[in-house]
Amino acid sequence: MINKIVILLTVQKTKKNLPKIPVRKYYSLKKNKLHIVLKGLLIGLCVLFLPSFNTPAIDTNAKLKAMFIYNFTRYVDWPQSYKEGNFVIGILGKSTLNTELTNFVSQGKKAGGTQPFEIKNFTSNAGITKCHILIVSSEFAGDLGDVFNKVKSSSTLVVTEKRGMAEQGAAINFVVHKNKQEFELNKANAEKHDLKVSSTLEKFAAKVY
Amino acid sequence: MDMKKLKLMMLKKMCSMRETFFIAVLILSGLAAQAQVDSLQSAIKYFSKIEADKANKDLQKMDIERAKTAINVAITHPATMNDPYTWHVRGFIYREIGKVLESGDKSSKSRLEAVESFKKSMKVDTANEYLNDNKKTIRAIANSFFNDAATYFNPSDYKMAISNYEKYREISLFLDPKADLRAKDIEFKNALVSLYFNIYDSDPKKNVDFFDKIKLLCNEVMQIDPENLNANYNLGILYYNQAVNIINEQDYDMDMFQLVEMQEKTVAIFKQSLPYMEKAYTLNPKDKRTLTGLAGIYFSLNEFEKSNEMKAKIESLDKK
Repeated sequence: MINKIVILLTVQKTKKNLPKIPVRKYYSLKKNKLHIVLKGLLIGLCVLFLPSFNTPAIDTNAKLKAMFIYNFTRYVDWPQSYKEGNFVIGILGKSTLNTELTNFVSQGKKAGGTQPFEIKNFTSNAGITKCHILIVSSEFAGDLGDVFNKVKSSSTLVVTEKRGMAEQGAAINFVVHKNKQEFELNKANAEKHDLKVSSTLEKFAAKVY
Repeated sequence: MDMKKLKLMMLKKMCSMRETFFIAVLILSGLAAQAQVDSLQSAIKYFSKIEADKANKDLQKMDIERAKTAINVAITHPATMNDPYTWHVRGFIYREIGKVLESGDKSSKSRLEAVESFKKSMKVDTANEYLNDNKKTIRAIANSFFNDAATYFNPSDYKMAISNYEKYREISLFLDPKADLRAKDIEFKNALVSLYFNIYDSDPKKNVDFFDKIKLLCNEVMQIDPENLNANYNLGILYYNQAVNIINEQDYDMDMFQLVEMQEKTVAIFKQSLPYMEKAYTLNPKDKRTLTGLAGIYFSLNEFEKSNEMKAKIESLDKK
């Protein structure tokens, strides 16, 4: 027992001589400061990698309309005299479709596999020239009578973007139904311009007049 | 050795011959124990030199290696293995190994070894002599893991960020099992979502796995805090961008049948994004990001009046 005590005392004595203070001083904590730095870092990261909307890259509605228009060239039959040269898509007034149609024209696609697409922009009724499809922006919806007069003797598919236009002379009118982009078809208005609409297109129309 | 001889002579006088053999055994074990105590002292001696030798990296490295060897001898002998101080010192030595020898080594386990040593010190420290110091140092190590989690926040090292945060979390809960880490968890998960967005958006097809990872994280945040603005906003944006990406990828000459089908699908996804963005809007109606998001979603759902309303609010905020 005595010897055991001696040993223990030796250990205790050794401990008292241990350089405890330098150890603690060297490892002094900066807890609060550290936490502030960390918080700043993570908030910084959140800002740095802030997810962004893809809106500026694409107008989804315009792209969908452009895709529909491409399909109209598939399901509408123009007279023989319109099957040569460029396939002209005219746009009357300012329309978001302009960019998207220009994009797809730049891809070198051809109507019916043979006719290169061409986009023509018209700023007034008077300026309208021969075109296969004429898109009338809502800006000109009030002048629809003048537009029809201008194209009455040509095989032009008139496409509008305002509710009620199919009843007022347009062959195809884009409408929104249940949050979706759809179109109404007025077959008689198309036929007035010597255009034949396929039954497939009728199936996809939200309403056929 | 002279001191030890003197102790032996005194003990011989005090004890009878019958006890001599027993005492001899005890003395021998005492001498061996002394050797172990020397190991502890050596460990401390070399450890104390680390700071002084910091100008000479080779010397400093040698100090640490020697301290490590000595302390690992001390923890194996009965005289010191249950001494809280031995483990306390070992904790510091291993922490230093992590800092000096293995700095930048992503696979370094030294800090964890340090934490285990401090934990062991706490376990054998029945008098709580080192309790505060052990806890403080463990806390500092936990914070260093958190700090590393932030450092590794980049597309290449994000897995290290996650593992470091998990270590921070685990150690924090050891120190205080009732610790409320919800705010930290939200902060971390939201930051991780932002990073995942960065990876996902760089190539949504290639990094399609990140879509579900983002969704999962946002839902986890909303489970903790359903009113969390970032999680609601992020989930709204995730779905919105998914639908936009689908439309963006399509060729203009897509067949009418596929076109109609694709529109059905994307409208459903836009609708999925809407409640999250609307929730984000109610949480902060003046947040321009949210207003922009809502304007985009309403526009894609062909709800132009609502979209324009949001755009007007953004303009109004810009004027202020």
